[in-house]
Amino acid sequence: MSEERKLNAQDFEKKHKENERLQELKIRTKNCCCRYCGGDLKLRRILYGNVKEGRVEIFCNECDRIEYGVNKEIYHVAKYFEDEFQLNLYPENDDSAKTYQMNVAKLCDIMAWGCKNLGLLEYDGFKVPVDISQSILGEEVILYDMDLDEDVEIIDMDEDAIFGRKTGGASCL
Amino acid sequence: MSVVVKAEHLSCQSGRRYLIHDINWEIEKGDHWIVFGMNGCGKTTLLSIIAGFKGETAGKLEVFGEAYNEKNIFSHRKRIGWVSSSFFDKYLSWESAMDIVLSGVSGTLSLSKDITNDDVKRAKLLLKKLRLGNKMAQPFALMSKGERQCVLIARALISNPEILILDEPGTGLDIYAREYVLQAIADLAETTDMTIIYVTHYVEEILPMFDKTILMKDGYIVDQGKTGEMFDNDSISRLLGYPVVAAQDAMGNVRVKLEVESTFRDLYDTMNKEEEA
Repeated sequence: MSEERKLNAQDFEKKHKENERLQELKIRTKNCCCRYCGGDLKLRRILYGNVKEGRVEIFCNECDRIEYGVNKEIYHVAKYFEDEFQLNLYPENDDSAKTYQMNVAKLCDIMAWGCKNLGLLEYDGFKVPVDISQSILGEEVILYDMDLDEDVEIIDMDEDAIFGRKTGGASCL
Repeated sequence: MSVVVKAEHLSCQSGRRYLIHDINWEIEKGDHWIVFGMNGCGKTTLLSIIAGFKGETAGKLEVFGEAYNEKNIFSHRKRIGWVSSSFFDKYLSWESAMDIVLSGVSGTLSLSKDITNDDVKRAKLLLKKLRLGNKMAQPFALMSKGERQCVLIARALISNPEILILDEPGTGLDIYAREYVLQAIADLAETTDMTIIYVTHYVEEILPMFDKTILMKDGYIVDQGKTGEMFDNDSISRLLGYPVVAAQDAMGNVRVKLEVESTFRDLYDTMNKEEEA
């Protein structure tokens, strides 16, 4: 390698190192979602310092918080766990949407910690292919008349039902 | 002694207004400084620039012998513990106490990939010590002022900083927490070579080990030097724009006495008379 090319490579490496955090944040906004609401993450200029690198953080507009996020797959599994088993790590809190979100966020932390320590997860994503069940992803399931038993009652998704679901209370179905 | 912070003609402007103007200040390793001044005199702006969370618009600032740049911003921020509810209240809302404390490990406002199990254990220990063991997941916005202050103190201490900047840390704390924090600061000052900068409005919080003081007014440093010399009648009366009696006793404790006469009653009476008329 010529001296000039070697220097260019060093410059590139130095530049990359300097922007390492920015790169990390960009990757996370792409791969991750908010641990609390599952919403998309954005890079936002928070501070007004002179150094570009130090001004930016990942932000969840939905929750209005600075949020490092968790891999989307982990969020879906944590949310599924919470919906299925109603684990309550904050019994002293009200049974509210906030508590539900805090429980999901804590589950995300635990699952991410587990995956990281099993060597399955790095900050930039999973190191192994993840085959997540479609039902966990919470996609709409279309049921036809013939799929339903006669005694199944279908309730319209009114406000109370939505609230009940959000707070981890009685399901609408 | 090596210089850890050097500000030369440092200014910060917002629009046409100077938040701080022509600041010259040199802080040596192991120094214990008091920053004293009235509300809105630029104390928080000056310290947030030193802590690397805000930029200057003119002048020169060197921290640990270097100006802040893309390469050193986070490593330098990690070496500075920065407690300022008037600063962080603007940026933090629904983040959990634990996340905020852990953000001190990386010198950012969010978590980072470098968080280790030991960091988490240390964050838990600090929060427990500051009596927030049962509020680790609590959002910042739902905490009392004193609890927020304790979260920020834990955030500042988690990275074993070389410089500790405390911007009115006693404000909002209950009697136990305030004494605990003052005791912790006294311990740090006596047993380590940590540089400590302490901003306060309350002279009873000025511990004897804070032997240097800067007096700020309207964005300027009006005077700086030994605490005993700064807290005399003339300097403090000039600073506050009101006659006071100020002195430092033999134990090094600072006392300021001022008699303020309220004109509120006259104003209230005048308003009532006008209303009746």
